[in-house]
Amino acid sequence: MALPQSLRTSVTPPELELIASEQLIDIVPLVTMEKTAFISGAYGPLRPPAKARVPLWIAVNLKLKRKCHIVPPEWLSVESLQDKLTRETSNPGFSELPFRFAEISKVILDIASDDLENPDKIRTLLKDIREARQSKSREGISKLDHSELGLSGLCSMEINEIRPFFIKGMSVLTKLIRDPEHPPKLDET
Amino acid sequence: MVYLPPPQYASASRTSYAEAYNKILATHRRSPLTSASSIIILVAPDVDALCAAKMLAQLFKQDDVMHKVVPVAGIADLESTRDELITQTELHTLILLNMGAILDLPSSEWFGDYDPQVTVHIIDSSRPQNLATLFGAGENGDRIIIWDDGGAEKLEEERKAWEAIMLDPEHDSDEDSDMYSDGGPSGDENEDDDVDVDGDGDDEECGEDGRLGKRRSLGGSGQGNRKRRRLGRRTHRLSSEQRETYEARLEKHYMSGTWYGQSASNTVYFLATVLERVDNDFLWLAIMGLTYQYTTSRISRADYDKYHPIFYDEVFRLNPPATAASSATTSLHPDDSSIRATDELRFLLFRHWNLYDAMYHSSYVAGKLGIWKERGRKKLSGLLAKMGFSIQQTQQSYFHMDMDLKRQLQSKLEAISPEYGMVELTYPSFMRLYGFKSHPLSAADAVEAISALLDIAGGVRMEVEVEGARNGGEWFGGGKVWEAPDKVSSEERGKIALVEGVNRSNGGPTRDMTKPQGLGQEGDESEIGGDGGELEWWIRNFWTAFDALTDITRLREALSLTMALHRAIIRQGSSIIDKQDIKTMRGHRVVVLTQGPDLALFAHPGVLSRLAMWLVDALRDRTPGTVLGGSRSKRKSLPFVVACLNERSGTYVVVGVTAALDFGDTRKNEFGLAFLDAKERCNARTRHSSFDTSVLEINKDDLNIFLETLCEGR
Amino acid sequence: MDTSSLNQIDFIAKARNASPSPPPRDGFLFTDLDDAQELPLQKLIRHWMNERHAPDILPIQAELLAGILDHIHKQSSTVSLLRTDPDASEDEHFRIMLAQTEIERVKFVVRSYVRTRLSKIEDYARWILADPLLQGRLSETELKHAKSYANLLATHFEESVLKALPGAQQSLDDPVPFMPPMITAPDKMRPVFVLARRDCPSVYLPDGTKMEMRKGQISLTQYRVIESLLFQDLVELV
Repeated sequence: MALPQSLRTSVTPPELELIASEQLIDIVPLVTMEKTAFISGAYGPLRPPAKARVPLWIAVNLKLKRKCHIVPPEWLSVESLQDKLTRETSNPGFSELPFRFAEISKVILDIASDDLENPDKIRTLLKDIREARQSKSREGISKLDHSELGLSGLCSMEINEIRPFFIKGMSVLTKLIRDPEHPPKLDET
Repeated sequence: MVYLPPPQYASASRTSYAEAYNKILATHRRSPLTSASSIIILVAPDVDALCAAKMLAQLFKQDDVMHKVVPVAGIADLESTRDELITQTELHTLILLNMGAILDLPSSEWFGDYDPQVTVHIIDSSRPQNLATLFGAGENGDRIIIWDDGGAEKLEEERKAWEAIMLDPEHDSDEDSDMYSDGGPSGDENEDDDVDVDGDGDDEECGEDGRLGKRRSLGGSGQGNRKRRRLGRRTHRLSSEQRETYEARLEKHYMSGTWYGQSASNTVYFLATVLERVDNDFLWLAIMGLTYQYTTSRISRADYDKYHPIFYDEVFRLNPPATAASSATTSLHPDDSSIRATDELRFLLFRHWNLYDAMYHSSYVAGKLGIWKERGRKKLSGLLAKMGFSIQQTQQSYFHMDMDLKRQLQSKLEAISPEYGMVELTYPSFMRLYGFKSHPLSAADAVEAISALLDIAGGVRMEVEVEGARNGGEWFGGGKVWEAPDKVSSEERGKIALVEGVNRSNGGPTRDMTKPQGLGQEGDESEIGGDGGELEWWIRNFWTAFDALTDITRLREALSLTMALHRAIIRQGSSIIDKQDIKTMRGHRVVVLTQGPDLALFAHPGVLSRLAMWLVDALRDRTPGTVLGGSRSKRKSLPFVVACLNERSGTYVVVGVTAALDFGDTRKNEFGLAFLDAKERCNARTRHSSFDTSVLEINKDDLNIFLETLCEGR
Repeated sequence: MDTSSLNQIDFIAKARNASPSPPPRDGFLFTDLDDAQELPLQKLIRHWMNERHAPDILPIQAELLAGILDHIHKQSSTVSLLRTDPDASEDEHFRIMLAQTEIERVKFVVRSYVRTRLSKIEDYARWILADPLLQGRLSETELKHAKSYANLLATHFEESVLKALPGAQQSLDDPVPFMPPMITAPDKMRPVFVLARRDCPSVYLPDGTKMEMRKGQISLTQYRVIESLLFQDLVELV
C-alpha cells in the first residue's frame, strides 16, 4: 500500500511527464466541443478552425484520435533551438530553457511529429543540447561539497537524471565532514 | 437482409457505409451497459479479413468504442460462436468479416432468433451472396445488413425471381412431392457424421437433381415457412414457364461456382474515406487486401486493374512526392513511412533473397522453364547469363547487388523474357518505406509474410535458413527452427490473454482473446499435439499475424518463414511432377500425397491450397483445358484436386481449384458444389473446417470412392 | 427540464464559475509561481513532489485534499449520469471521455501523495509517536495508522525475537554506545534539490555562510537548511 521502495528515492520520468502534461499548449481542433469544466480548470470551447489553448494531455488525447493538430510552442523550432545550442556551447552557464522542455518535446515529437517542420533536425538539435548540458553538469561534480551547489538553469529531467548520484555524493561528503559528537548548529531565521 | 450500396450510389434515401457506421457509434454511446462485448467483430482467417479487422479496430479506437475481435475458423466455429453469443445481453452489434455471405442469415438457424436490438453487419468478399440475406425484409429484416460493392445492383433479375418464388410457395409444394420423393428428406438433413454445412448443403441439393430444387433452400427455410404461414393461401399462381425462368435464374446465381468481389479491406477503406479518416496505415492495409486477392488468384488481372488506379491516386494524394528526383525506393528521412507506387516483378520476395532463388521459386517462371528438371534449371541460368548477370551476382542477396544491375534488371528482363515465353512479368503495385529502420517492403511480400504467419507461425516445425548459412558459411549451413518472437508457453499465453483483457479496460478499447469452447490440453509448442492443441495454435497464429500487420520487425522476421514455406512447396511440387504423380480422371487432375518429408506441413489447408496453385501455374502450359460436363460455362478450365494425408487424424485434406487457362485470369470455383455433390452421392464422411467451400477433410477410407464419384459426376 | 440538459448546464455553469481563464502555465522558465493564481490541482502536484523528495514528513494538506476529492466525486457522478442518459447528444462523448481521463490523472496524483506519506509514516512510526510536533502534521487516520503499525511491529519483534533475549536487551530502544539509536529518525541532512518560488530570506548553510535564494534559483543543499522555507511555501523541491 505504501509507496514501493523503488519509487522512494526518486521520481520516474513518466511521472514527470504527467506533471508536464498539465501545461497549456495551442491546438487547432477538428471537432467542436463546448466549454467544459474540468478539475484543473475550464477549457474550450473548441471551434474549428480557430485555435484553442488546452492542457497538453487533452491535446495528446485528441491528437491520437486524429481530432486536432498541435501547434508547437515557439521554443520548439529549428531556429530557436539552434540559437540555444550556440549559447549553450559558448557560455559556461546553462542557457534558459523551459523547465520541462524535455518532457514536452518528447511528447510532441512522439505523437505529433507531422505537425512539426523538420522533426529530425529538431531531434538532432535536442540531442546536441542535452549532451552539452550533460557535460556541464558533470563538471559540477567537481564543485560538489558538503554544503551547497548552485544549479540554476537546469531542467526537470536533467535534475532527475543526476539526482541519485549527486544526493549520494553530497551525503557522503557530509558524513565525512560531520562531527558526530557536535552536530553543527543552525540559526533559524 | 438489407444491403448497403457503396458510397457512390448513396443518396438521401439510400444510406451507405458511413451511416451504418455512425449508427453503430450511436448505439454504442447510448447504451448504458456498454462493455467490451457490445461490439464483436468475427474475423475469418485470411489476410484480407485481417486487414479489414485492423482497420475497423483502429476506427473504433479513434472513436473510443470498445470492441472485441474474435477469430473464427470455419462454419462449425461460427455456429458455436453464434450459440455462445446469443446469451450475451450486452451485445448489440456483430460484424462478420469475410464470412457468411452465402449463408441464409435471417433464418432461425443463424441469426433469426437473436434479440431484436442486435444488428449484424456482413462485410464479405465471397460471392455469390445469399438472396434472402440481400433482399429479404420483414421483422428480422433490417437487422442484417450486407455491405455490398455495387454488385447487388445488377441482381435485379435475381431479385425479381426470388421475390416471385417467395410469394408463391404453394405451387411448388405439389410439384415437389411428386418429383422428389427420394431427394426430399435427405435434402434437409444435415446430420451425416461430422457434416457441418448449412446454407451450402441446401443449395447443393438443387444441383444434384437438375434444375428444380427446394424453394426453401433457395429462399431460406425458416423464412419460407414463416412466410407461408403468414401469407396463407394465395390464389395467384405463376405460369409454369415463368416459374421455370425464375428458377433457372436463381439456380444460375447459386450454381455457377464461387468467386470473389471487392475485398473486405477495400470496403472498410471506402468507409474510412467517407469518414475522412484515411492515412497511410489504412491505405497500406487496403492495398494488402487487394494484392492478396490478386496473388492468390481470387480475382483476375482485369479486376485488379480496375481497383489499382483508385489506390494509385490515393497513394499520390497522401504521399505527394517531395521532389522530382526522389527515388522510389529509398527513404528520404528516418521517419519516412510513405507508400510509393512501383512495378512489381512476379518473382516471389525477390528483394529478399538472391535473384536466382527468386526466379526459381516463382511459379510462373517455374512453369515456363520447367524448373523441376535439370534442363529447366540450366535454362534459368542461361536466361540470367543472357541478361548479363554472372553466376556470382545472381547468388548475391538482392541488397548487395550492384546498383546498376538493380536498375537494369527490369528492362533486361523485359527484353529477354519473351524469348522464353514469359510475358506479363510485371504488374503495377506498391511498396512501403520504413525510414531508416528497415528496407522497403512491397505489398506482395507483406501479404506473403502475413499469410505464412497465419498458416504456420506455430504448430509446425519449420526450419529456416540462417542468413549466410549457404555455401558452407556458418558451420556448414543448416537452419534453425523458426519461432514466433515472444513465444510463451501455452498456459501462460492463456493467462496473459485474460489478464491483458482486464488491464486494458480503462475506458479505451479492449481486445480479448477468446478461444472456442471445448479446448483440450495444449500440446507441445512446436508440434501439433492433439485436437485441442490444433485449435489453440491457429488462434495464436491469428494473433501473431494480426500483430505483425503494423509491426515491421515482426513482418521481416516472418519473411524467412515464408521463404522456408516456399522452398517446401517447390520441393514437394517438383517431386510430384517428376514422379508423374498426377493422375487424370476424366479431365480432372488429381494428386494424392501420402508420404514425404513435409507431409505434416501440407496437412494445413492453406499450405495445400498454395501447392495446388503452384502446380496449376507450373503445368498450365502442359495441360489442355477441359470443359467440365455439367458446369455452367462452356469455357475451358483446369480443374485440379490435391489431397494430402493427415496422419495424425487419419483424414485427408482435399483442395479443389478451378484455374483458368491464362495466367492472370480466374474462373469461378465450382468445387464447392462438386464436393458436396460427390459427398452426398457416396456418403463419405467429410468435414468442412473452413469458410472456403472448396476445402474439405475426408476420412481416409473414403477418399478413393470420393475421388471417383467427384470426377465422374462432371 | 430533463436530466441531460441539467447536466449540461451543470458542466457549463461550473465552467463559467471556474477561473476565468487558466493562467499562462507554460511560463518560459517555471511552472506557476504566483500563489494567488495557483489552481488547487497544481498546488496538490507541488505538495506531492515536495513530499516525494523530502526525507521528513510534511504537514498534511487536509483541506486541499478534501477539496480535490470532492471535485473528483462530483465529476464522476456527472460523467456517469451523462453516460446513461439516452438523450445526450453525440458531442457529449468527447467531454465525457476527456473528463474520465482527467479523473484518472487526478486520482493518480492523490493516490501517490497518500502512499508517499504512508511509506514515511511506516518507516518512522515509533519516532512520530514520540514526537508530538510531528504528530501534528498527520491527519487523524494517519495517526491511528501510525499507532497501530508501531504496535504491530513491536508485538512482532517481541514475539519473534525479543522475548528470548536477556532482560536488559529486550526493549526496542536500548542506547548502545557507538551505534545510532534504534528508533530511526528522518535524516534531515539528506540533500535535496530546491527551487525558489520567490525571493527568499537568507538561510545559513552547513559551512557557515549565508545563502539568499533569488526567484527561480535552483540549488542542491541539505534538507534542514531550507526546511523552514519549505514550510512557508517559499520554495519547492524538484
